Amino acid sequence: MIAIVVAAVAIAFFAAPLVGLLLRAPWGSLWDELSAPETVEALKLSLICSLAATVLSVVFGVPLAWVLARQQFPGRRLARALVTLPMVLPPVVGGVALFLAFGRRGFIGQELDDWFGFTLPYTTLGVIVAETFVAMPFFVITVEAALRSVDRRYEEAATTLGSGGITTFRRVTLPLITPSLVAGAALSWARALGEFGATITFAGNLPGKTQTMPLAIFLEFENGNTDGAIALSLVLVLVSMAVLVGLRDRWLRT
Amino acid sequence: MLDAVLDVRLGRLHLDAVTIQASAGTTIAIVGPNGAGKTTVLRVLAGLVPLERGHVTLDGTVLDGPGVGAWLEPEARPVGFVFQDLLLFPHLSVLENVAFGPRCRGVRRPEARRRAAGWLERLGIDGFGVERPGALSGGQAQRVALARALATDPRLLLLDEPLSALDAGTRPSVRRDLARHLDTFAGVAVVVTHDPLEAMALADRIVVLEDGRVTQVGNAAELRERPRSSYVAEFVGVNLYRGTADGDGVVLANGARVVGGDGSVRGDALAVVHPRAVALHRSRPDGTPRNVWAGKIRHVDPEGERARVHVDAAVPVTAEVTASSLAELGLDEGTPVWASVKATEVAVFEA
Repeated sequence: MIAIVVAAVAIAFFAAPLVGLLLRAPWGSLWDELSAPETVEALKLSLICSLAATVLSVVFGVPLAWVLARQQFPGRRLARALVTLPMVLPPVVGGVALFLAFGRRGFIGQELDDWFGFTLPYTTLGVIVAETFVAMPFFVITVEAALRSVDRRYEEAATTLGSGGITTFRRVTLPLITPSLVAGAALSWARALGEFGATITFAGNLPGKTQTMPLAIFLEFENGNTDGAIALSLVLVLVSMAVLVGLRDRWLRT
Repeated sequence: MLDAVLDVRLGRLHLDAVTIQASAGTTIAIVGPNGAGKTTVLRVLAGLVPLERGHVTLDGTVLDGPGVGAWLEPEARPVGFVFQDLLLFPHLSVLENVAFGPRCRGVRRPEARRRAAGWLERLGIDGFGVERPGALSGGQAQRVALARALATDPRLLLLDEPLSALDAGTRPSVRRDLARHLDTFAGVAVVVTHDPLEAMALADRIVVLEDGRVTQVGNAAELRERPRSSYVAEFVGVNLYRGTADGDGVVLANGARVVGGDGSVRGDALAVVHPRAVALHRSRPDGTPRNVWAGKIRHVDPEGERARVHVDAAVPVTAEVTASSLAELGLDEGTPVWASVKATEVAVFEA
């Protein structure tokens, strides 16, 4: 009985912010708020950066997940810990750390600057890097788990049919883990879309260049334009809901 | 021509100089109790498990020879493998499953599909090409797995418990088809089974594997006559007769009849009689046994408390009797005897 009451309180605690958002939403002027040029710009930038981060997460994440799941090498546990770290690291710390590595005076950033005249901080590319940093672990962890649990005997069957390692991976393994690939990509995309701390620390808050949705929401809110902040928030709530519904079979299974 | 001597350790299993030799066009059955290492033998032949010592040589090519540093990757071996759980790719259509092998071996897509369709037709499952494997019945899936393995034109075909996934109702017809395809297969086929009947129905020669060692090699008759282990005596050493079922039993090629079965089987059939179900008499038995065959004792194999007595008769039969009744009846080589078997002790299967 007590447990049920406590649980009800906890559920209410999760529901209340959402209700607050919906109650205060400026339904009448919602469209105007969302079609303001700065808003559209933030929305566009968010989409581009988060999708780019997702693509990078997949391109680098699939081989990384494969190495972590299938290869035996010294330091594998350390490698996995490193990959998982951004999931638990406060994003603002991630932003500072990225800055110290890839910033103009950072030990890698300096080289990039010297050799290619190319800087990451306070650029759109910097946003993508920050978002990839926090988002890729979600993809890697999901796909690694799938690669560990996939039935290896199908790969053996492919081998006896004359399929080499890469063909087997492409034609058998990847199709078998498609649900996990989709789930991992969706999770990392959602994470990239909502990225705030690392982005603002590493890439700043330049409208049209590095000001993504969460940054725009924060700015509007700070400047007292609550309606604008709510309108933008609703868009992100909608997106989060869509991801949840899309993944319900995997993550909300009871 | 397959020539293999397999020596490898895997956990508690030790394949100890397991020797398998077979010429092209023959089928070898590997039988043995669970955990004897039967599946591992196939995996070594396919290259999924490397040898520690010994060699695998197929048609003069060394596939695996740790002594001479020879090793051919599994994907490069001319080997087809039908897995116990079939392992049809669930994300590919039946046709794509069968075309997978040719595609991997460099055949262009239209040609690979044409070949796959040809194999499906040959195995009597054309019309299912667009289905996913999940939509097939057990018998159909088994045929697809065989088609997929044969589509690469292997010179060595490995089948791991090919009929074990099927229910008892479909097993005879699939076994018959499988026997037909193995008969026409030009290369060497190796079938793993724990079902002696399957071994005898499919194979020319039987290799008995127990605890990682070959305990006996021979055809069904040789194993029955001289079982070298209790496993062979118990599971492989049954009396097996091939003939034509007519509802009242099985008529052998020489016209003799083995009465029994439930009458449901017609046409090509196998009759199985366990040696313990055979009674021997010095005079024509009274009573009701429906099978009574007069003959002469050819050979007596004492085996501890029991003895196996081989009788030459119109229906040659091996009986297992106790040592005391052996002495009591004065059975010895050359003794004329009557062998009797109750019809209810005879099992009849479709061949």
